[in-house]
Amino acid sequence: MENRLKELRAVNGWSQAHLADLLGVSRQTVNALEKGRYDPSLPLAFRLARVFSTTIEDLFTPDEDDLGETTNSITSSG
Amino acid sequence: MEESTEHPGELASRGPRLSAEDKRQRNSYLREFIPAIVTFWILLAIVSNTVDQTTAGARLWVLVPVLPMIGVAVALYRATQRADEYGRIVMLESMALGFGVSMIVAMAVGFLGTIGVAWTFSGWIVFGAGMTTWGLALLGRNLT
Repeated sequence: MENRLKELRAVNGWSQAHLADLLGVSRQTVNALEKGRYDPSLPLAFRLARVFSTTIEDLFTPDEDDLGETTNSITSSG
Repeated sequence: MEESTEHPGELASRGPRLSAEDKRQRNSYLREFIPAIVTFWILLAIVSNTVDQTTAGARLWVLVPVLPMIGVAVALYRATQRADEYGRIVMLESMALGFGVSMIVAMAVGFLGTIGVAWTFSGWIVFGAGMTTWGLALLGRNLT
């Protein structure tokens, strides 16, 4: 899963520790998220979206591997 | 090398490397871990220096230092419970790896025992293998 966390954190001029404080997580967690080593739970993804005043879709972009064999229900049903 | 950009508005005393959550978790863990491990070392020193280990009664006394290790285990369990979602995964994965290696080494030592190869310190081999693996796994996740 690709994300824009590092980019948006830089825009805000925040350190990883400051972002971690805003989220209530450890700095190690922020680092893992930014490097794509860890995909957050849905509640944490919502907290991230709120902190950056944006949407989860704007923050995270799934890879093809993340989507797997999933098909779009609208196009596949037509 | 992990990046951590200092926020201009942050207090210098807070430092760039740890979040408030990091410090809260670390301090809580140390508050529980340190008394238990200090008690362990004190009891180990007392038992090692005062108990005559050649007598039958010493067999129970040598177990006394194990008691504070229960406190260490409780401290570790509570640290896992306090950790955030990523921290909990890292801790549990590294513990699982240490447990797996311990079981494999225990099995190897057990099989060796069945053919007559037995060491008085074989328990420490299992303990050392598990703890070393756990520590290296934690270190690996923190450095990558």
